[in-house]
Amino acid sequence: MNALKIAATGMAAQQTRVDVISNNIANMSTTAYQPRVAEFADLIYQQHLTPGSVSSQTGTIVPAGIQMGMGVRPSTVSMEIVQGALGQTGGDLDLAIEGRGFFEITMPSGESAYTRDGKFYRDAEGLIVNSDGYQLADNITIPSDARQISISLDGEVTAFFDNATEGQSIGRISMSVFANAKGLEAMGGNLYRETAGSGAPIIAEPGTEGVGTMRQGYLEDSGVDVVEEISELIEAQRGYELNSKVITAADEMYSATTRIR
Amino acid sequence: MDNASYVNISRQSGLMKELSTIANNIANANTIGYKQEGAVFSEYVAAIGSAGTADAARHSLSMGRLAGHASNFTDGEMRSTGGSLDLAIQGEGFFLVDVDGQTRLTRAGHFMTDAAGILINPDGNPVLDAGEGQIQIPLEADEIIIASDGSISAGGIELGRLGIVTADQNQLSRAGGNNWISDGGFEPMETGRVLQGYLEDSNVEPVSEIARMIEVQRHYDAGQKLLEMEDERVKQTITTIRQVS
Repeated sequence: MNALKIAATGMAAQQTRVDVISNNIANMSTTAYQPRVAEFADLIYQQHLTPGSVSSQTGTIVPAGIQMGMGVRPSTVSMEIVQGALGQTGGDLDLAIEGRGFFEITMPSGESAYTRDGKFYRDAEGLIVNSDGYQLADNITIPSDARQISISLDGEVTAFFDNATEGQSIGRISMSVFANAKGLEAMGGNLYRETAGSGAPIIAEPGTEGVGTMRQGYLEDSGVDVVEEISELIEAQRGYELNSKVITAADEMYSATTRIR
Repeated sequence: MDNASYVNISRQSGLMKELSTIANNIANANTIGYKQEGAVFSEYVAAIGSAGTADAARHSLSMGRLAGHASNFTDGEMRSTGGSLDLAIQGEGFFLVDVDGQTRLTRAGHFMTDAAGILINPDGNPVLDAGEGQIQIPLEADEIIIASDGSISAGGIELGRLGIVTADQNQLSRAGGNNWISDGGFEPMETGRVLQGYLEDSNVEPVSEIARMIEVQRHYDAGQKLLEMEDERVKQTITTIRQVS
């Protein structure tokens, strides 16, 4: 009954692919969304006749043997680290990251979370918070009488007041980079959590070597390429059908067997 | 006694195995670096006369049996992903990965770095360099460039070179997880053509697999028909003998 089970693993794999694609398409307008991609690996092989085993007394060997594959498994569903296009918004607390790096957010529990979604607001106390009201970890308070806020490429936040032409520095937004950003755990709400796979965050100044820069007044669009997703979807759907055809064929062969008597 | 049936059963079980192989190919039609697998049938001759008599050599029975599997090593399509650690090898060659201390060969170049910056495959196994050592990518490396000979560099500084090897295709067996075991060892390859930003798709052609599947199915049906006829023939013989006696 191997063919049935193998085709079932194939259908499950294509199903996983469709799930991943549908999530990508659903997030085609999510700020700074990183598309996910499912990759597959073949399952273990049953060795019926191991290649290289001796096939006669004179020492000839079996060249290829018989190895029966057992199907397929998803190996990773990982983030594709792509730079989304930057869309201009004009908001003075809208920040886009160009290049590598994440903003650090302090969750209500005190835990740190990381995001590339740079849509920030100020709360009643003047603190910079994200759309869920969670604080930016750099703890920057914007004075209530500030006329204008300017954020430089390297994260320096400057406030301008009515009575002075010179701005006043009120803090700096740092960025966190990870050895393996694909290893971050997605928590939803555009937030990620560090894991043993991603490594500990390295807090860096924006614009230093290997770290991205900040753009005020822009937001990073979703990295989803819809055309690519749709062609992937068609491929996955046909792949699913092909596997179901194998199930039909195997079923017909088994039913031919039972028809003998 | 019933030799026709025996010959047929051998063929039928071989066809069942071939269907499993086809199912495995279709299930892996989107597995990166997967190589299509074919089944090879061979004739198996068995003596059917009483052993030790002159009869033994003269009367023999020929059967078909599944003798082995052949892997088709032609290149799959190169799919552009843009990932700086997505690698494909054009033409001959394999990457090296370390699976529990054993060196395995693979064509699936979907690599990433771990928390310490070591280059790994999706199962967490380290990718090996030309000297079979691990490859460390410094964290501050931004733009990683991988040349066609497998040299890795970032910002003009060379970081190492991926191990690209060739092996005797007849001595490769499948280890699962997109990896191969080489019983005959492997040779370093100087002329490898590594493509950065691409992944090699499975080289399974669904159309030809479906055609093969239909063929297997029809052969199987034909075998079942033969068994039915054989059954009928034996039944008739028994009926005739009963009437005569």
